[in-house]
Amino acid sequence: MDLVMEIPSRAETGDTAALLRLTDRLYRVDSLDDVFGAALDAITELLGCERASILLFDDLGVMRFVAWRKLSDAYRQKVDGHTPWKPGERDVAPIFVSDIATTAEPDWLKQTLSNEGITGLGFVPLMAKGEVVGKFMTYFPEVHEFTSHERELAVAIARQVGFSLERYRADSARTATERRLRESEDRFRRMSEDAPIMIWISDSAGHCLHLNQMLRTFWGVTELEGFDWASTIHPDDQQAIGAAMAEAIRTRSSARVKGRYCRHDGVYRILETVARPNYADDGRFDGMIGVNVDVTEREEADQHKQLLINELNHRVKNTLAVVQSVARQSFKGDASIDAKVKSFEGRLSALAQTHNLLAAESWQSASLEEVVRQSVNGDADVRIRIAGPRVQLEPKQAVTTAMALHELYTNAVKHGALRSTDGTIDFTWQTTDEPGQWLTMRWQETCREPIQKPTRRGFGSTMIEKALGAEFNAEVEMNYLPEGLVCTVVARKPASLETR
Amino acid sequence: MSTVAGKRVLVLEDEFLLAMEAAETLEDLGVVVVGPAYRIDAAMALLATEQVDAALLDVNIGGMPSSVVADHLIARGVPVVFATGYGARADVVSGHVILDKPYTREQMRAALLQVLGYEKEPSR
Repeated sequence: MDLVMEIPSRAETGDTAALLRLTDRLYRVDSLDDVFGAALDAITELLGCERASILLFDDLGVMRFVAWRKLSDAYRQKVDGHTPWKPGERDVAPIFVSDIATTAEPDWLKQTLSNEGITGLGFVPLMAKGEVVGKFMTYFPEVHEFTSHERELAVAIARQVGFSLERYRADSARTATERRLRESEDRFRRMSEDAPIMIWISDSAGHCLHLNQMLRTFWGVTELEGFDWASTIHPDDQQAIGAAMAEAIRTRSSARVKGRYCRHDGVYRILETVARPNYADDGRFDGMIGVNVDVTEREEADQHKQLLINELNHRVKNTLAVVQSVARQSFKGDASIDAKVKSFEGRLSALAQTHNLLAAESWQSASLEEVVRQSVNGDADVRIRIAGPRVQLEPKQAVTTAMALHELYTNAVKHGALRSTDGTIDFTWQTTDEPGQWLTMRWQETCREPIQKPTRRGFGSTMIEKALGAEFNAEVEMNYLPEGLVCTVVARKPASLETR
Repeated sequence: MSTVAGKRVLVLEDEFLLAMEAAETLEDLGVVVVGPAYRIDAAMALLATEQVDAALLDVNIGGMPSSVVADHLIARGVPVVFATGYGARADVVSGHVILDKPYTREQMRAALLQVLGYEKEPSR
């Protein structure tokens, strides 16, 4: 409805001016109270009533008084929540009552209105985005027949106020969103600043754009202008770190580097950096964002641990060398047991070499394949074919396996397949999920010359059958076939691996 | 006939039995043993007066690295065999031979021949 185009009677010209004033005031409001004030002024002026009120649905959907003129507290308390419409209802029409006494409304309401001195009244819905959000009321002490002009004016006021509410609500929602965003940014900035980790952001050329407090303190910089982080890298690490970061920027990929950086006090600290590419909202590559962790103590502890393990290994093997020397000296000059001393030396050497493998893995484990290769000297892949999946042995298992394989190997050299040049050996192993058959190892000799089953059980067979069997909780089978020895070891899964 | 016969070899080893063993083995090969020295300063003192063609050095002498002796020898072009319990990963100058402890007489002889520039012989 375009009120400016209405019939221009004098009174109506005044009404138009009043409506325009309302529009103007609503345009400049700062708060909801201003909206209500302007609305109540327009309602009382344009509809010629003294009393009026504005009610809005609250968060729970209950219609509540938010602004009023000349209504008693008692009245408002009584009728608070009363509404002909539900929140969010669409296509609702105003309701104009010339005399409440003639309606079918409940008696208590009629009585309440009567007590307040109200006879005629109008309910005009306030709409926002097409839905009822509240209403304004106009009250008359006498019977009041609402003219069609008054009805139109009421609707026009309601529409203006509705628009204003809609705009105000959108504004406050946006303001709230902005505030939340700002708070979130603040929170993250504080988090970054106070984090016990060094955080940085660089541009796509690798220049620092942001350093958090911990990193600024580390480098002792306050002004990023002209600060060259790369110059703080230890000269020996500069090339590697520079290349890794340049590559990460070039390929837009993550990087993990470790190196020594000069702290503000001139002390070099080992920092581990994890960096990832940083993209703007539009997908443009913005540079890198990363964190540095001071791992100096950890690195030193690792080095110290390795040093201790090396030292231990050195001492153990020195002792083995002394034992070997004692044996040699003890049996010196006794040619009859020369061969025995030699075989003792070989066994000691097998034991010592396994210590090397274990020391390399910090005494955690050793790979079965490496144990095998070491035990057969240079014969792996030549006369001895080795095949099997990756299996890590516990330290004790590794030692026993190496000792047993040494016996099998020397036995093959002296009496078995490796005695002649055409003999070969296959050493293979498989693993299964079956706990009773966790690991099956098979040593199979193949040679033309028939072998002979040894008549005497010595240290070798003890190592192979007893020690290996005990260490792996295994069934060990020695089969002296005409074409060569077949030794099969079926090991149960160790308890330490059961839960894995 | 061993090709190392007559060569002068410094032995530095802090474990008496091992030093004695090494010296005996070398003498059996016809080598003239310089030392054996049981301490780093003793080895340096020997080098001040004695000429050597090669050296057998334990890398760890009483908890100290023997690198000061090794550096002195390497600087003078004297080949070095490092005896070590650290295994093949021992931190020694590349190009020199590592003898992993415990070693057999044959392994020692092979290592010595190797550093003296002779063909490496089968060590088994």
